[in-house]
Amino acid sequence: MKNIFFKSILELSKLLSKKYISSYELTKIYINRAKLIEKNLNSFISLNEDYSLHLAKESDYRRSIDKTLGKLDGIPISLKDNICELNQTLTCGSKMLKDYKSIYDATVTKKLKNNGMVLLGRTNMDEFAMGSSTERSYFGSTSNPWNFKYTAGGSSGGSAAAVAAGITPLSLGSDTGGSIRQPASHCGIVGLKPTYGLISRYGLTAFASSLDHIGPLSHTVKDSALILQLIAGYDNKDSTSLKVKIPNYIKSIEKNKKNNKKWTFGVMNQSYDKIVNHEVQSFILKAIDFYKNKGHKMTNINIKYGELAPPIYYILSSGEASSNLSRYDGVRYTYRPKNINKNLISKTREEGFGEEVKRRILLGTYILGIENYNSFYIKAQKIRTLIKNNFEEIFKKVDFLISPTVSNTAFLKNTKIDNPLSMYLEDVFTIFCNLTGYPGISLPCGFSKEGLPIGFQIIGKPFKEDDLLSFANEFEEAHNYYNIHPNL
Amino acid sequence: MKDIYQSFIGIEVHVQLNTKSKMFTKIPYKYNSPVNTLIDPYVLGLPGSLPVINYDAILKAVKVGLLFKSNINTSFSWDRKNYFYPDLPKGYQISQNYSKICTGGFVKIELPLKNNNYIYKKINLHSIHLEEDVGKIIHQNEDSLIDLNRAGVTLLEIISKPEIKNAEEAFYFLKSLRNHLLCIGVSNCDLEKGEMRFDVNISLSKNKNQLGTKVEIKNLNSVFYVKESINYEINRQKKILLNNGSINQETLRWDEKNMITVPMRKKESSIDYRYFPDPDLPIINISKKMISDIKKQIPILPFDKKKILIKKYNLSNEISSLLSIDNELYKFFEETVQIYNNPIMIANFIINDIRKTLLLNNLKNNILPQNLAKIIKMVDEGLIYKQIAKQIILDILLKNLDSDNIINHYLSKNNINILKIKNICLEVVESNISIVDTIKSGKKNAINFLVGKVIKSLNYNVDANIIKKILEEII
Repeated sequence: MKNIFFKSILELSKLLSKKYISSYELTKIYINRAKLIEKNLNSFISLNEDYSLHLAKESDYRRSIDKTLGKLDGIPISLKDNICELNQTLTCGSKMLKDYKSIYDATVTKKLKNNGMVLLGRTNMDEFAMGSSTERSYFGSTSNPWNFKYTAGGSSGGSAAAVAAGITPLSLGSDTGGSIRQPASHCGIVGLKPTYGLISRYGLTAFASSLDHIGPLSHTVKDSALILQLIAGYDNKDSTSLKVKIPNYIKSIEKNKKNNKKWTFGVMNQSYDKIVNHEVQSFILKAIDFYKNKGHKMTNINIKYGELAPPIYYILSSGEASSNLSRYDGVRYTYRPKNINKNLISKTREEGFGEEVKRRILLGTYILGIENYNSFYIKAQKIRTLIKNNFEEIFKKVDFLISPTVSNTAFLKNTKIDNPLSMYLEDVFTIFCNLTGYPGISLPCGFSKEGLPIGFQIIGKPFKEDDLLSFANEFEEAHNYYNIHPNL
Repeated sequence: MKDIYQSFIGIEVHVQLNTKSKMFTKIPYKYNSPVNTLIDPYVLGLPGSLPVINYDAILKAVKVGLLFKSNINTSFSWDRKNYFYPDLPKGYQISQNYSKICTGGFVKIELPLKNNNYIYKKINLHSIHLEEDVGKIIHQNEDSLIDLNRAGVTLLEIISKPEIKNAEEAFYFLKSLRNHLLCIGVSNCDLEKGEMRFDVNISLSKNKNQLGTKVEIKNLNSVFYVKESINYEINRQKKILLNNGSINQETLRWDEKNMITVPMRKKESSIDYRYFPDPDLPIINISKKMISDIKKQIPILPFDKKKILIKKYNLSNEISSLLSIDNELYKFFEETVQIYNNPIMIANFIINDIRKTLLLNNLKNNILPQNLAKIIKMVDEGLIYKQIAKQIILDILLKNLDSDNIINHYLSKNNINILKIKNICLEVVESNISIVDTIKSGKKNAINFLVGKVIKSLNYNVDANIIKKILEEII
């Protein structure tokens, strides 16, 4: 019998509705577990115990009078500290916003509240989502629950670690270049980046607007489906959100399973041998074999301009970021140096931002400069379009692409921090989804000799999360990774 | 001595459109609201806030483009103009740089000549685009205070080509521009409320095919300052050029106190705005149908209205100018003339009495065409004096009483007087039978003698024609 704190939300929802446990008791379990583990993990930036228990009590009351707000009423969930939640912190892992409290809810937050979910706390992240290890957080790095010496990945490292360690059953993170999928892979859980435009970005602190996504981190694929159902949909407050029909994801998963649906998938041919670790490669090949043996058709796919993806990702994301972060100027609501009477803006930014953020802002400012704009930004946009067009061609022949999520397992703390470029290579497989907007999911498929999780990535067609989740669910149900948890 | 240097002046006009809410967020705008009350997460530039396009602004911008015969781009996007300043909450302003909503077009201006005549000239436009306004900084002793009420307000930027020749043309350009905008009702163009601001660029050259170094004067908020700064700058540049010096390309501001142009700090004038398309906003497509629907909403233009007023109704140039720029009064005029055909008097009353009173007291016109027609007809028929008519009009506007009541009140007052006059006329007729006979026998002018007698007997002034009329009736 699994410990309750590792149960999926699907299971928890059943327990709550059968009244085997109350939301209050459940929430208390997570809070107590957090108190035990957090000093080693550091996955939360803030935990508001009274507030969470209050929400839990309200849920129990609703249940007692048979007026629950939905399937997920009373289920705890934590949010990455860059998604607005009224009256809670929004540090974005930065000194710049260390004392800031949101005065409004993000659209996704409102949806969670409207469904009675219990908001459990704000999770740690790389500063302003720029990083792949959560070591760039002003509040200290987050450890990998499988081995505290290793990083949890990033930038949604806090979310991934909290779920993997069983101190929150579910978390929402953000993904600009892989920031949900990569930490999910390093922590052995499921991380989904949905199609761009499916989920409203209103209330998500912008890093790179055309690349940012909100998505869930969970124990199982079905859990992702459940929460996706809640948060997907057009929002008139976000002009990049799209009016699309939202299918019933759980029903689709079950229907495809029942019909034994067969698909075609491609395998990314991106210089595998050169960059992917052998252990990781072997588990990816096992996953590919699994699908082949199940009767799905496989083809080899070469992504055109694939090797250009990392540089154009850094050009475009840095350019947009340099503009999105201009609002942090010490004038209205950010950190402000004491005793200052001139150069307010430059001193605030000098003191309030960490090194990696400054690096990206400088890079982005340079890129958008009038002498460079055409050679970098415009060129990168053109290549981005070429990659998008190539994806359209590829997905005429296949339903999915399979690749490693990351070329390696989690790395030791302090090993990449002085080498930005090596840190940037954590993204090579994940950035395609951000550049094209296509949905991607990472799920566990093995462990390294050191006992560190290995994940693989499935990329699907835009707005076809129903198929993507079905395909992923098939692998998950046939394996037991979702039942393997760190010894904490 | 012929002027060897010609001036090439262009003006960028920033107009606040009267959209109900701001350009990229639903917050409304009202001048002089308590500080920092017209704000929301977007205006404050809070993390996670996003812009949402105000479609009314787009419709109004298209209307302006059609008004000035610009080319409407059926597909356009938005660019971020990046720079740091305390009154710019996001650290960038959403504007249009790479694709603007309108290109080309022209503003027709009317230049008065010495012999009371006019010539018309076209000042071509470069482009028209939409953007959002910035907040206000007020410096108070050691503190700088920021009010973000104005941040995000819908701004239309109209950029002219450098075809304006001097301060006088600039004045008429701005006058015509303003009148045209008022005519289609997209802005109140109130300069005191900052609803129109100007940037002027000037260069001098001996040869129109090779323009000189351009200098920009920014943030002028009155037409007077536009004129003054242009004159000052032309003189300043001429002096330098005539002494074989060269003009620095720089950004200036107008020092109102000393009436001179002063260079802005180097930093402010050489900023690279790092324009790039705003990734939070989609490309806008306008259909041909939408454009033709908006075109139908454009009324007769001021100069064309003026032509009609002069040709059809024989009104003076001055009256026609004033009547042509106010849609409501123009309509009021035409409706009144339909009822009673004395256009000249009707126009005079509208401009000299009604319009003046409305402006001074910030009122709306509550006189109906039929009532104005009635009043003027009474003046024509001698039933009331012009002065009384003016008083009646004032009373209706200011006291908002029923028109008929007021008219009757004055009429009865008048009637008492008329009765008195009638009596005196009767007396005069009866005591001057011989004169009456003379009149009856054909010498019509003799009536003037009687008129004089009546006037003597009266102890106040009465229009001689009224007396004449009454006497003629009696006789």
